[in-house]
Parts: sequence; structure tokens; C-alpha cells
Amino acid sequence: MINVKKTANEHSYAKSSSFKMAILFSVLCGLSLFILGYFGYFFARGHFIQGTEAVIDTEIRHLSENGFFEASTLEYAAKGRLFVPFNANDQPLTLLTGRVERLKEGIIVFEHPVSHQIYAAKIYTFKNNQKMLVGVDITETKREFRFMQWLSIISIALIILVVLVSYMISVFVARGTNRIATTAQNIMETGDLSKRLEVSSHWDDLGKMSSTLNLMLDRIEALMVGLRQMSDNIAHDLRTPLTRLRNHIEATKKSDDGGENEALLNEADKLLNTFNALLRISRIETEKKRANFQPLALKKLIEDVIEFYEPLAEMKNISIHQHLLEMSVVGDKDLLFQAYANIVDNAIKYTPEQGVIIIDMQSEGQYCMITVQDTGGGIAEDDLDKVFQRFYRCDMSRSSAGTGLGLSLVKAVFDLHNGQLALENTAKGLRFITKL
Amino acid sequence: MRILIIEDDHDVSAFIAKGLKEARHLAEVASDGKEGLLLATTAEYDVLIVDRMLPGLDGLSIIKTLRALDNPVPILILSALGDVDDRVNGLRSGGDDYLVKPFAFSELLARIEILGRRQQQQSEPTTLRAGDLEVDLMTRKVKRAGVLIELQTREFSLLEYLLKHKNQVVTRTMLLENVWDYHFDPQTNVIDVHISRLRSKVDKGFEVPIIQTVRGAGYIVEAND
Repeated sequence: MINVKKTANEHSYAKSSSFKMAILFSVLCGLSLFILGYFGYFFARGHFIQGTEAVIDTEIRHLSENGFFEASTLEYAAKGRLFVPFNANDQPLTLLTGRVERLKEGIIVFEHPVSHQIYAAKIYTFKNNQKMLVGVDITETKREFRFMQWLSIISIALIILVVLVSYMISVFVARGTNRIATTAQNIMETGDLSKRLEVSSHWDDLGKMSSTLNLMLDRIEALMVGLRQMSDNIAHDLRTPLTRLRNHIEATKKSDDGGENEALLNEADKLLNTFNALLRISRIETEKKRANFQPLALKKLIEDVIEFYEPLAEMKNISIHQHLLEMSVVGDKDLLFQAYANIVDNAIKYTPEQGVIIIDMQSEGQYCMITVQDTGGGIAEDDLDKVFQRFYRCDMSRSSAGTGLGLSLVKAVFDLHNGQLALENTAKGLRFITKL
Repeated sequence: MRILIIEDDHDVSAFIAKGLKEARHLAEVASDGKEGLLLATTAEYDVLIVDRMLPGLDGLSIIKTLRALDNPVPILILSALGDVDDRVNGLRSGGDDYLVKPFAFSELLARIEILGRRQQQQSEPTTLRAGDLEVDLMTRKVKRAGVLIELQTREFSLLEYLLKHKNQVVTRTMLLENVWDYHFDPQTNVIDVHISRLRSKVDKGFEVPIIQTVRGAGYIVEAND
């Protein structure tokens, strides 16, 4: 099978390289930040706890060495230290009304109800069972800790922002490149060189690439048009003198020359047919006229083709089997008739006597699929995609008659209709698969 | 017939005029659109041959003007534009037939003679005859020497077209356009095969064949009634 269209998936951002890169970078970036933050947090916290405990322990040692404090009944706060003796009810003199957190086993953190300073404290029991809360002011440290927390929240937010932005960039890039790829593929499949890539912006490299590719398409189109025009001109300019020649031959027919004149006329007609076919193909390809497109009953058209070629098949005792459905397409009646006529003509030409031709029609999605299967033995696999080229003939045994342009015309007609045309070898012969 | 050729290419007009004279027609040539329109409106012609691309006034405008003046003269359009919609445009503007350049003179002659004769026989007969062949268009029955002949639909249409233009050369292209209603190039000699099938039904076993081949041109049904 050749020429089968592949449709580009326009929403495959996930498959694009830019998207994968964005994901990878986001993951790496997030991971490293997470590790860094995690270690930073635990180191800082550990240091903080150790330091605080050491200060409290020093104070406690100091207390235990100076027994004087055992009898103290007043709260004392100075130089970032806090000493709160317990009352008879075994409660701190200053009631801890706010929230009390535990920094670690034996150390509590609270906010002083009067001064609103935050303290980390231990409870020390003197030898006489008198208890005292020994605290260190950690307001400043706590504030710094809060600040660090904020910093990490902001950096997490930044990471999320980076992820979002990189996703958006990747979507933008993927969409842009996909658009370019889709258009390029479209141009390749339809051969319509007049199409251009959409240039949505001029500031980024994608826009620049699109404009450059468009310039390249301009150049290719100009070259192709030049080439076509040249071959058209050759065909056109040769056609007129050829017609004159034919008419002169016709004019000299009067004398009886034993068929010499007839043979000359035939030769001239063959040449003219070739030129006409060539010009017709290039006209279909270049003008892309869809003015005559109309809804068509395809079944009737195929029946007419079969009816037209049936006597030819009968002469070779070829039987044509048909399985047709009522289906309607929009297209050019004469061109489609010509295309299917050429296919059927080709099938009859290469099917041996007593052979069979099967014409089958079925609906396939939005397409109407018509296959023409002959029993002519098929052609070489290498030739399958070449038979649509102008003047291409498979091997000498298969090219007895014709201009070598019949199938090129078929291809041009299907291209004009945005149809599909494929050719494959089967067990018995060659199969044309057409989709409209 | 008296024929006016409106064509700016002198080679082409001279060639057509020479051929028409040989076929015993009167040919006059106008080499630009205005002159052509003047001649066409002042003198009586049986057929006009009008080129589409003309200096001064283009072919389609001439035809439209003539039709607007209720001039029913049959007009054959000559054109270098071979596309089907050009053909449709040409016929829509009032032309009766369309021929793409370059053409074979026999094709042109056959078409002109049919156009010229179209005017003479206005009423459509219901029975067509050629010799001992009789075709009833109402009942769609075909008899030769009183014997009924079974024909398929397309064979009947072929025979009908040939008989409607009897004593005129009918080309293969004309048969394709009028009997099959598709404008295309059959590549092979399928038309000849269709004709030979028709012949085998109509002419087989009879001494005088109804359908005759005109070499290098087409077919003709000759009969004197």
C-alpha cells in the first residue's frame, strides 16, 4: 500500500520534546530545592534547640549553685532571661494563658502574657521541692524562623510558577511546531504549494522559522510553476502546428493511397492526444477549479462507467462483478467519470481473456471507498508508487497502448477532490483503492 | 450554407474558410469582434463560427448581444480554453455548440452541418426512419424490415442520435457528448465497440448496412426518403 494518509495529532504536547524538558527541569529544580530546604530546616532547628537548651541549663546550673533563689517568690525577668517561681498550688506565679508548645522533651515554648515576649523554658525543681520556670527569650529567633518559613513558602510558590510557565512555554512551542508540521505534511500530501505556514508572531524563533519556511515555499512554488509553465508552453505551442499538420494530412486524403493517409492521421491523433492529456493534467493541477463541483450519485456514475466499458470487456470475455451502494459525494462529474473510466480501462487492458474484474463500493467513515480489482497479475512492488508519474510505464509488456498519462490524470483528479488513491498487489492482480 | 467566421487568427480563419468552400459552403470572415457583430446583425447567415477571444468585442458578448436582439442563428463557439466550465459558460451565454482549439476540420464540419440543419427541422418527429429501419420514439421499439429488434437503453440512444442526424457525419466526440452525457476522453476505441455491437443487432443479415463508417471522421447513416 502506498499513499495512505497519516493524520497529525495536534494535541500531542505530552509527546513534544519541549514538554518533556519542562517536566524534567521542574522535577529536578523542585527536588533540589526540597532537599536543600529539608536539610536547612533540620539543621537550623537542631542548632536552635541545642543552643536554647544549653543556655537554659547554664541558668539552671547557676540557680542550683546559688541556693538563694530557692526562696524567691517573685517573677524576675532581665537580659532575655525569665525566672518564674511556682506558688503553693504548684502552678507558675504568672499563669501561662497563651498557647504552650513543646519544643522537645522538657522544654516548652510560650508567650509571656504581660510582656508578650516568647520564651523557651524548663521547669527546675530545687532540693526543697520548690519549682521554678527558667526561660530564655527566643522572640528574635522565632521571628527569624518565621521569616525563613515565609522564604520557603515563597520559593515553593516560585517553583510552582516555574512549572506553570515552563508548561505554558512547552505548549506554545509544541503547538507552534505542530502547526508547522501539520501544514508541511498537508503540503506534502496534497502537493498544494500555494499553502503557507501561519506566522503568528515576529518576535520569537518559531515565527522566524515559519517566515523562513514560507520564503522557501515561495521559492519552490516559483520553480514548480516555472517548470509547469514551460512544459505547458511546449505542449501548447506544439499542439497548434500539430493540428495544422493533421488538417493538412486530412486535406490530402482525397486520393486513394491504400491506408497510408489513415495511418498518418492516426499517428497525428495519438500525438495530439498525448499533448491534450498532458495539458489537461496540468490544468487540473494548477487551476484547482472546483466551480463544477456538485452533489453526485456515485452509484450512477460508476454504473455508467461500467456500462460504457462493458462491450470492451465482453470482447475479451471478461466478466465485471459489481457491488455498488447508493452514495453521494460532492465532485466534478466529468472528471470523476474520466478518472474511474481510466481505472476501469486500465483494468480491462491488463486482465487476460476470461478474467474477472470486481468493482466494490463501501462506506468507510466519512469516505466512500471504491475498489477496482483486476486479475491481470499485478505489477512489481517497486512500480506501485511510480505508476502515477507522468509517462511512467511499468514494463514493456504492459505498455502496449496509451499515452502513459492515464493514471497521472486519475491522480490529479483525486488530488483535486481531496480524495485518496492507493494501489496494491493482491493474489490475483492489481487493486485500485479510491476514497472520496 | 452561408457561414460567418469571426476569428482574429488569419491562419485559422483562412483554413476554415478554405475547408468550408471545398464542402460547398459560402464562408465570410470577420477579423474583429465589432466587424463580426455588424455583419451578423445586418446579413442573414445559417451558422456563425465565433472565437471566444477577439479584439474589440469578445465572442461571448457578441453572442449575448445577438440573443438579446432575438437573433436565433446557430452559433458554434471556438475556444482555446478547454475546460468544462468554460464550455458551460459558452453554452449558457447562448452558443449552440462548443469546439476547443485545436480541432480537426472534419469535427468542425460535422458540427456545423448539424447546427445548420437544426433550424430547418423544428418539429420533433415521433418516428425515425432510414431505409427499412423504423424507430418509434414513443414506444421505444425498433423494427427492421418489419422484424422487432431488441436494443439496450444505450444502444437505442445511439441509434436515435444517428438517425436524428441522418445523412450527416457524426463524430465520436459528438456521440460521447450527446449519448453519454459525460465530457471526457475515452482513450480507447470504446465508441467503435459500441457501434459494432449496435451494428450486429441492426445490420446483421441485411445486404445494405444502415450505419456506415466515415474514415478519419466518424459515422453516418445514409438514406434517401
